[in-house]
Amino acid sequence: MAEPIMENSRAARPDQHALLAPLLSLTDVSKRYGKLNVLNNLNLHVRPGEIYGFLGRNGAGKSTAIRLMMGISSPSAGTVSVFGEPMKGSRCAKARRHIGFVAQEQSFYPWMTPKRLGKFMRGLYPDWSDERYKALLTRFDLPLNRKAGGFSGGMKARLALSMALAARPKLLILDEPTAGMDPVARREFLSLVKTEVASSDTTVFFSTHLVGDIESLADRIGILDGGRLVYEGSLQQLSERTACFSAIVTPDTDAFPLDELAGHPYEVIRAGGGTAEQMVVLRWLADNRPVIAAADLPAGWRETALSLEDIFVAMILHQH
Amino acid sequence: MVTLTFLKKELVEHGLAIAALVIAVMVALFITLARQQNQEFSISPLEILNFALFTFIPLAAFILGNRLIERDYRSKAQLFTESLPTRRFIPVFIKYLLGAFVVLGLMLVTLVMAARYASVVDSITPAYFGLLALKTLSVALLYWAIMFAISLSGHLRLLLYVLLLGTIYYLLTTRSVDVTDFGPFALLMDGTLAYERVQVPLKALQETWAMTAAFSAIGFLIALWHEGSMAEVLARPMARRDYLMIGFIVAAFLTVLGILEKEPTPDPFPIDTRYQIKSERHAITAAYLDDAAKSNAELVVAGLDSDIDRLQATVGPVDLAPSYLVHSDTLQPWEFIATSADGPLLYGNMITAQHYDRVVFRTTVLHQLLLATSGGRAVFEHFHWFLDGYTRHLTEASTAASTTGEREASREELLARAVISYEVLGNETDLIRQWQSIADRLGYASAESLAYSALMYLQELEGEVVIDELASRWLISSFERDTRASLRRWRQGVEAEFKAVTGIDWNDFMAGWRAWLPGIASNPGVAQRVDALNYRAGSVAIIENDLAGELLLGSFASTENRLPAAEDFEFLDTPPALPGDDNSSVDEHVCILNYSAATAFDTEMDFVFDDFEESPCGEDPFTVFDYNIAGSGDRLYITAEVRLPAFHQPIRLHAERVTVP
Repeated sequence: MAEPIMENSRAARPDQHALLAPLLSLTDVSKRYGKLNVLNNLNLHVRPGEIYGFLGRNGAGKSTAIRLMMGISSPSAGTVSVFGEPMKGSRCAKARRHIGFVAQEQSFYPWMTPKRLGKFMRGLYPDWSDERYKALLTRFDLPLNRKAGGFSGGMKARLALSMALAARPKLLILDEPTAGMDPVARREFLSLVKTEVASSDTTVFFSTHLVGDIESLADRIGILDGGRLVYEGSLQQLSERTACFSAIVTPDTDAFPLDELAGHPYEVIRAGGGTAEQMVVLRWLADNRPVIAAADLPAGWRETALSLEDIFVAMILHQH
Repeated sequence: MVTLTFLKKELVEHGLAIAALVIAVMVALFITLARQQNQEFSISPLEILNFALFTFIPLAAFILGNRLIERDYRSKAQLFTESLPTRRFIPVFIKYLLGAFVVLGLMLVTLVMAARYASVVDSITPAYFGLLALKTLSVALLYWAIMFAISLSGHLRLLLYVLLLGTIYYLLTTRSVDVTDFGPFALLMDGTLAYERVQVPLKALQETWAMTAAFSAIGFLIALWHEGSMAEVLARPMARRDYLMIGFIVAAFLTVLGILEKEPTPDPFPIDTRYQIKSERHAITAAYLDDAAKSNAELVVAGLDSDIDRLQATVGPVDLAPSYLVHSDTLQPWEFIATSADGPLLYGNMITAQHYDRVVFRTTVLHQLLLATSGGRAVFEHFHWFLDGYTRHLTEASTAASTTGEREASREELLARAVISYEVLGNETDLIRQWQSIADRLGYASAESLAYSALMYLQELEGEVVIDELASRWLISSFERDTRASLRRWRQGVEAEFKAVTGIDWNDFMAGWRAWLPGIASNPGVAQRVDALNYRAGSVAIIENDLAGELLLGSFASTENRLPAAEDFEFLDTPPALPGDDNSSVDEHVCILNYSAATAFDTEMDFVFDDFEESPCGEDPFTVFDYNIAGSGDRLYITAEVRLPAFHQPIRLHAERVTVP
């Protein structure tokens, strides 16, 4: 398996986040269930105010990592720190007072109405705001006095987000909150997250397997595969440093001239194709990517734009 | 704050259910107290504590466990709960405390109410109340701990409830394990829960507390083990492997019970070694207790040795329980009391026993031995008649401990009894289909004589070997719980099996036997005894008498004389005249009426009469006695019997169940 690619975000996108101590850190974290290694020396740091997109395929270990961050599970090795304190023992409960959490499957106490849930949560979160909660419920168009057990998946997700935000959390953890939503509900939910987060200084950790969920949100992303990060950096960097060249195969088509790129450190993420088309996807390892004019490419080859999802898929396939 | 929030959540969620439960328990409590006050034999209202601990307190704990815990896990809200700012332990602990509080509260209210009622007539001191509280609350808390642990077991809980009830039932019924001195069983079972005022049952309390701690720990372990994943997994619906596991657990449970069920070797029945005779060949011990009984006891033991040798030579090795014979000089020569210790235990009068009585003694032992070997089942089989006849056949055929004359006389008496019994019953007698009613009407001695005579007839037809073959097939293979043989018998019937062994159709055999039986009366020894009995019929009735209250009457008649019908009794001012018979032996006839309260399932074997009345028939064949121990509508089993010197045991002529007017 290839070494993880760690982009220097300060260099790529210098901003104030990089200067602050991480709010959430996973250092050399491993998690084993019996003989199964779910997380393997995971290193991940989220700085205050950041929106961190946590990408990975289903089963990559994202939910396990989030359980560790929440202190619901303990790591087999390594350290998980939230707000600068290790998530251990009684500190977990203390830290969770300032964490908003939206789980993949929303299962509240089904007999409680949003109103009752609000009263319940008020006793648990010191920064809880009834006004904000009511405003969010109104905004999210959620009935106050209907039992949550009867809500649809989208309604439950909006209710969970309302509760999470009403607690005025310093850290908001979203674990695939849009899973199972239809496209309209998903877009609506993401829009709500974006709006609400924009108006606060909450740090957001957004886990998803859908690149589109975080494309317009995340300051930085981490791509998890096989229990370890295979990429960490900004989406912009990921996009800028990835280049895709393709050619329609004809008898005159030459091979892509990788030798000529020797002066520019790169990594081939994908090379090959079928009898009809050849493709080469490269990752530039230096800060400044070379500019390759179309005229400099061999006959038949051209540079093709890749979506973030294409890059994500290519990277995951490259790891395997 | 967090704790309070979770407590509020539980109260909001379960408050109504808990209130309903409290009201239901209160209603049950008041009804129980009211019923208890009206009970005839009640000593104190504190007796309801036992009742409460057997009924509504465990029921309340069960309902609470289901509501507080199982319902919560089933709603799949675990991840939500765990993501809240609290330790995983807290929500579970709140549930535990709330459940314990409610169960203990209900128990305490029950105790206070019972003590309040009891204090009207009893002194309920603080120490007494404290002791009651300590015992009842300890048991109630154990109930809650058990329900708490099982409720956390998710989809396995039903299995665990079944196993729990099965285990309790097993522990309370088996003789392999004695739990009556242990923990909660000792607190509940020994009857001192409500009445012991002074002694603190520390050992039982400590064991109960230890069990409570263990079940509570198991509950918390399930809830917290592997970061709560075990309880979460258990809350899911059962998968195929869960069904497999349940099957495995049930099989293992039954296997363990099967192993435990093998009863331990009991201590031998205590017999004074200074007055005992032990067989060297078999597990037979006789306690003669009086030097005058020693010689007869020796004869009985020697005879039984011979009988068992013969039995084992015929049917092969049989695992027979130890037998105990005990002399009792309060019994009549013809009376035996058959009971059981760790094997058959028979009381009889060995001083007065003549040869015939000793044979009866041995027969009864053999009968009890084979019956015990079948687990008591043989008397419910269609070959019950054979068991009765065969045991007598063995003892009568034995040459041990007897002279030829004694054996001949015994056999003649037995056959004479069979002839008389057949005359009493009529000519439709069938030993398989009517055996239970024959034995009920004539008593064991006469029924046995009929079965014995049938085997004599069979021996004449086919020889000794078929009797042994039937014994082997019916008595031994069945006693060894041969399921295939039982199924085959159920399918084919005993008659078919009889034909398979003897080659004779059962109906033909019965017809032949009925024709053969009167013929043996031509034997002088038999005829003399048959002729000695002047009566062939009896009747009984209960009539109302203004002066003497209820009267129980019996009459006896020869074959030529009509018995008075029940309605005739009330018109009789004096007993009817004797049947015309100048036989001098009339004076030696004793007419007896026995009676006992009748139950639905009494049999001739376990009937011990409550009372009897006898008078010489020669003077008054019409036995009368005052009857005043039963109430109107009660059922009585009454027999009319005659005792005379020609027979060692009374001959029953009539038996009837009568309702007191």
